[in-house]
Amino acid sequence: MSVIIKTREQEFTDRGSRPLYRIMQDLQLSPQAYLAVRDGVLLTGDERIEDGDVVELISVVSGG
Amino acid sequence: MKCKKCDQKAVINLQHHNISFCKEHFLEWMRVQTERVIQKFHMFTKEERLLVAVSGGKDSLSLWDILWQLGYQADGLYLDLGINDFNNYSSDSAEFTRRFAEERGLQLTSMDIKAQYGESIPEMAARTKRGHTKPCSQCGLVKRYLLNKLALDGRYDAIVTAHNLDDEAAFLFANVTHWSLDYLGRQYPLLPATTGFARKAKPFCQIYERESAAYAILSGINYIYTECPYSDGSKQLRNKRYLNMMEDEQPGFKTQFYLGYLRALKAGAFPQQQESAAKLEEKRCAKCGQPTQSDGLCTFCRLVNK
Ligand code: SF4
Ligand SMILES: [Zn+2]
Ligand SMILES: [Zn+2]
Repeated sequence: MSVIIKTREQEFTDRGSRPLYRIMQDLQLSPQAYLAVRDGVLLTGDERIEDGDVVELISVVSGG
Repeated sequence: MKCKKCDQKAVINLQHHNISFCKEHFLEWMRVQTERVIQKFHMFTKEERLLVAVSGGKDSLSLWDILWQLGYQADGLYLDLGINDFNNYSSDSAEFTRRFAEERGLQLTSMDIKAQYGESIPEMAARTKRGHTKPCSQCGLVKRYLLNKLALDGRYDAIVTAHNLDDEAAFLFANVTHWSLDYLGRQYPLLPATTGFARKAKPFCQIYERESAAYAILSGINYIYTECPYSDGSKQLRNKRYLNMMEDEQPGFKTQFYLGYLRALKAGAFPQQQESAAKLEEKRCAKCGQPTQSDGLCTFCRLVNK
């Protein structure tokens, strides 16, 4: 029973069955800094992430 | 969550505006917002020729796409910095930019800095005192200089850059924490042309970084996701992180911070603005003729001349 959350640098597993924003809160990832994609579709934070889902978090922050 | 306009399932929620959109309505909203900013600051018109600085990243390609969709005459300028030591950053971003322009039939000018001046940006910077670990200040100088030069040479009416709200807020934050009054007086979405300098506009100055990335992803723009290796650990990234923490607590914080500054500037809080422009006009570079603050060569000619 788990879901996979990937960022550019890291991969996390989570128990899932809860909204994306809760998972991001626990991982201390700012919703401002990422866009979430599941199966090629952009997700809002209230979307429930269910068992077997793979969510890619695309970093939107760039700069030097 | 549902789209505010059509009730379909939303793909993005903009907390600071308290709205959600489906793909189609988000893309439309982005074009409307950009056009609004262009009008609000009287940036340019559809009769004028624009030179867009493109890096192959999400912001510049999204902006170029929007300007094109809105019917502006926007050509692109890509500067190849020659940064390929760690991850092919420059050659990949050149390729993303080239393909983007080709797919849309847009006019793109590319300049390979190493081919033109004999050295890549990291190589130029390596000869300077502080630039051999991080070439960013030399890189910024070269980009600013060439963008301006190529805009003037090509008789463009304005230079357009894709600085977004997060870039502007982070720069402002740095300037406020250092109380850099000189910079504070000069940060504005539109800088009119002065002797030797083309007009400069930033139509994305009220667009969040997250929105410009979403625009690229939702409209199928392939952009370079890899970062320049030298941006790692930069102050700008750190400041963006701080501001995002504030934004998470208080949606709209970044907008308030930036727009508040623009109001203060308009109210005359930073009178340095005109003074520094006047100072610049006194001297000219002995080699390229650009207005400069120093005697002899301008900072660009001194850098490439060594
Ligand atoms: S991070 Fe530094 S070196 Fe890289 S493109 Fe930006 S300014 Fe240039
Ligand atoms: Zn809609
Ligand atoms: Zn010069």
